[in-house]
Amino acid sequence: MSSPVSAALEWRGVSVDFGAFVLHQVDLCAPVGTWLAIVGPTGAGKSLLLEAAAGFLVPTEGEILGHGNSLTQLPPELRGLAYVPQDDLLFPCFDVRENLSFGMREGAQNAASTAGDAISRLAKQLEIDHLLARRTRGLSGGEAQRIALGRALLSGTDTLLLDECTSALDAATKSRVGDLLADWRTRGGRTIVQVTHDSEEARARADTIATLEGGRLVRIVAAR
Amino acid sequence: MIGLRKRNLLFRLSLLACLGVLSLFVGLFLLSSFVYAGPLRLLDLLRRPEAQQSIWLSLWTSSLSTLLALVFAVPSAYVLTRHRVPGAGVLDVLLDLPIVLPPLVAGFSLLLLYTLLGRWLGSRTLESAGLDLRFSQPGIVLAQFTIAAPLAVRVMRAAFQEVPVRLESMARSLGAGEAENFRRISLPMARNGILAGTILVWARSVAEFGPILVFAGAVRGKTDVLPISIFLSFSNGEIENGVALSALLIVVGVLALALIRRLGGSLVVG
Repeated sequence: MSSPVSAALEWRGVSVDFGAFVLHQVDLCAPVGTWLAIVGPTGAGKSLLLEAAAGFLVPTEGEILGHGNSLTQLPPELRGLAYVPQDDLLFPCFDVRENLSFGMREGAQNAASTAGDAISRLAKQLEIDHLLARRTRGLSGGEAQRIALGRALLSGTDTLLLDECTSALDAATKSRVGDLLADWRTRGGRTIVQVTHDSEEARARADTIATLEGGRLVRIVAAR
Repeated sequence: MIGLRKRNLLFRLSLLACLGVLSLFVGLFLLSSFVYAGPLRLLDLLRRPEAQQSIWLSLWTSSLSTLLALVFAVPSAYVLTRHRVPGAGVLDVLLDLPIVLPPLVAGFSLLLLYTLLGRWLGSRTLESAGLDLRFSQPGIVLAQFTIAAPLAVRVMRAAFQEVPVRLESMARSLGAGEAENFRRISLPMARNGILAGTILVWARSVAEFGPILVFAGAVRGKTDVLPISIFLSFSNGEIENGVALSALLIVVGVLALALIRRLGGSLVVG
């Protein structure tokens, strides 16, 4: 089954059984080059939707497609999506620089100087350049979130899955990170799917807002 | 109110009394070797060539058997912890059995396996292929491995269970395949548990007796690892020699436990 190639990511009738909680037959699409925000109350199933797309959970029914190809049976490493979760963000066995470079595959890592430049440049933009040599223990929540976001951006993906990834940032830093993401998206058909509780941020940044409640998709509206 | 306080105090004192009696009992019987011969005499006995030969034999055989156990146990523990393995429940029981069996039974079963192999393949075939390890020093390693490997699987599983699955999933979503994920995330994250488990397995191998006695035999100067040497000493009436080697094994145990605790391996030793 194929989808119009204009969809970077699509959930087609996806249900996920997560113990006592069930996500019911979600149909949702993030067209290439757009910013999709998923909002809803705590426990609505927003994170499950992202985890199913990232390959952390197997849907009980339905299909997940990326650029028209079925991702449902693919392992996470072959999906080409970069997921930034809410918690368990960083690898404690690495320092910050190693965390940032983790997703840079062999091609990028071979060009060591280019990779190093890219890490330094992004770290500066995310205001974490002073942390590069540090271990991850003792970092604040906001620092960890920016490092995880940087790692996802450096992975070379064209589709970001962000789960409350700026929740620990102050308003000014959140705004600068939002600008950085908006800039990233405009460069060549890149797509963002963001789970957030911040409906103001969703309206300001996203093209489309999908609302989940009790495991069901109840609304999809254009943000602007 | 005062009555309740007194009852609480009495209850706590009775708990502490049980702990005190038990600790005193264990402490006294562990100290008995040192008290019996005295520390200087113990050191003197341990300088004898036959004691040093036993110590050296114990060191290399237990280190080799631990290394071999790790080669098989780390991947086995990982696959049992992270993947759905058909018949995992049966495998779990199978791998635990050598740990709970009387050690003599494990050694006897190993000996029987060799007897059967000799019947099926021919004793000469086993000998000419260098696989007949009975009553030899490589046989000591195999006898230690029989218990060390299942124990290593048990403790390595505990180490891998401490690694958050979500971190492994994160690594994979960033493009790491299963092997890279194992090498770069799971192994380093489980490092302390693996090190603590390794020391535990090594200490158990040093202390192994039953399977070695049955499979490799008790021959002075050939298969007399420390526990076998203690057995031979007591059998031949060389009490002081046996006491000195017992004390040495107690010291090895204390050091091993101290190292495990330092590595934060309380998981693998309870």
